[in-house]
Amino acid sequence: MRLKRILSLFIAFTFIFASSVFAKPFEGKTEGVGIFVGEVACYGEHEIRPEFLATFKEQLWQSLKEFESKGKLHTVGDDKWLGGGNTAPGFAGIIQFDSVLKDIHMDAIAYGPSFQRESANVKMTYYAEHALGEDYFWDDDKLAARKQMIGKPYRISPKLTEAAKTVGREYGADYLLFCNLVDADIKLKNSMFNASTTLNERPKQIKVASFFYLINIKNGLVYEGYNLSDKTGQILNLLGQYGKAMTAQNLLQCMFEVQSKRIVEDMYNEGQKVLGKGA
Amino acid sequence: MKVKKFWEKALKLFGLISAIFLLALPGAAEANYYIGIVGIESRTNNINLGDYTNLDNLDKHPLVYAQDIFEEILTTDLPSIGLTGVDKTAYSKMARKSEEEFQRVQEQMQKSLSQLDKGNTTEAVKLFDKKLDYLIYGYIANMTITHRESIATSNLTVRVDLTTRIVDAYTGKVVCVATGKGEAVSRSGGHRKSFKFGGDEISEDAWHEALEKALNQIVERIKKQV
Repeated sequence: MRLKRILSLFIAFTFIFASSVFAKPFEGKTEGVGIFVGEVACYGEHEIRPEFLATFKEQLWQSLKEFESKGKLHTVGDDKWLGGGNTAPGFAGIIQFDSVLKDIHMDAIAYGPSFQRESANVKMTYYAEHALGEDYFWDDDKLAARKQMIGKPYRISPKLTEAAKTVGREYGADYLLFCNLVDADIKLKNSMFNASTTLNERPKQIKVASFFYLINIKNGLVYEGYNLSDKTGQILNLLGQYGKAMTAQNLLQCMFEVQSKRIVEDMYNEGQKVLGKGA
Repeated sequence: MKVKKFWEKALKLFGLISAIFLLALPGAAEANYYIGIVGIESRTNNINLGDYTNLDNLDKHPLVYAQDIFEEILTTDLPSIGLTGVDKTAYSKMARKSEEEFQRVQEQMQKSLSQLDKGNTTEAVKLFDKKLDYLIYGYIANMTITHRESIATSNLTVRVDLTTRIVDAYTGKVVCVATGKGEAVSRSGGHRKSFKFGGDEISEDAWHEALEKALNQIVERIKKQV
């Protein structure tokens, strides 16, 4: 009996060894929670140039994958949010894929406690007025009550909650993630003490703000997370690293990297905790 | 009798295990995936081909050098994670100093790269003779030059931000994104080999150093994502 056990153990080890060598790179990770990234877009007042948005998406992907390598989460689904053209073949027939993800994202923004109509783009404003009613944004009590919900889980419209659950089930995800890069702004300062007139060497003020929305597939609850990088110690660190003559592009690249890392960490630590409590 | 039976069984077991290992190991050594190295292009709004001037004293166009070092570093470093880099047959060897030839090959590559972005790999796969599992391509997302002046010297700092994507050769699905940044100081004056980017003179050495640093960072990040 013991011999048989040893034999079966050896065979199992051999197969594990062989399969680990044969495993295709970039595939097959299923540790931790499954995250499906629905959309990364800008619904802020000012449109962000596509190349900057693309950089932000790439940084977010990288941060997610680096977190994935720690075994805490794994991404599921396709790369459509990154700008690729893939959609799961079985999914295309069920619902209009692109539009439903956009709708879920906009619904999560509109119902989110931090949403301000005046700092959203026209499309988003119309959507929010349509979803919540135009009067909603003139009712001070409702707006004040809404502010109290910051950091707490909330719900989106039932129809889109069901759609989110369908997407999650289709891809085997535990959570859907949406990201709204609401503001990326660099201002060049004028100072009477600044002798330099070249663009790169003038003092700059930078602000990058983003919201993310995490939807729990099981209970349909949504968590809204907010990340702001303004004149903080981080920027001072960056300046220490790269010198004060850092260009606007460099600054943005660095801030996007910082933001994307924060989003992933906040989503994993805070988002999951809040959505789990609300269940 | 019992002892004899035990040894018989042990021998059988040893034979079986060694047979399994012998079968598994050569297969494991062959388990390698082929990755086609498509190339690098510039995509930022502040770089286009016209921005690289004074190229006469260079052996290669700066972007061609970027292609070459991209291929070189990837073919050297990726086998450690089970990926064998496959070079394109035409690009680097054809496009050297001739601007017309470079433009033509660049257009051909840009066509395949724009298709890759949409998840269509057919054009890019045509560039290779071998059957591939993955394709890797990259672009210069940002390139900036800053002046560092003091009383005695006047130096330039070149900073290159590179982004690479690895896509599945069959489905076109992005499987990995890695970014890297490289910085190098180009000291002023007396360069045998240099080119002008915008109005600034950059030494070839500084350009090479910055690219190399960025690519090494990318390889490290790819390894993290495997």
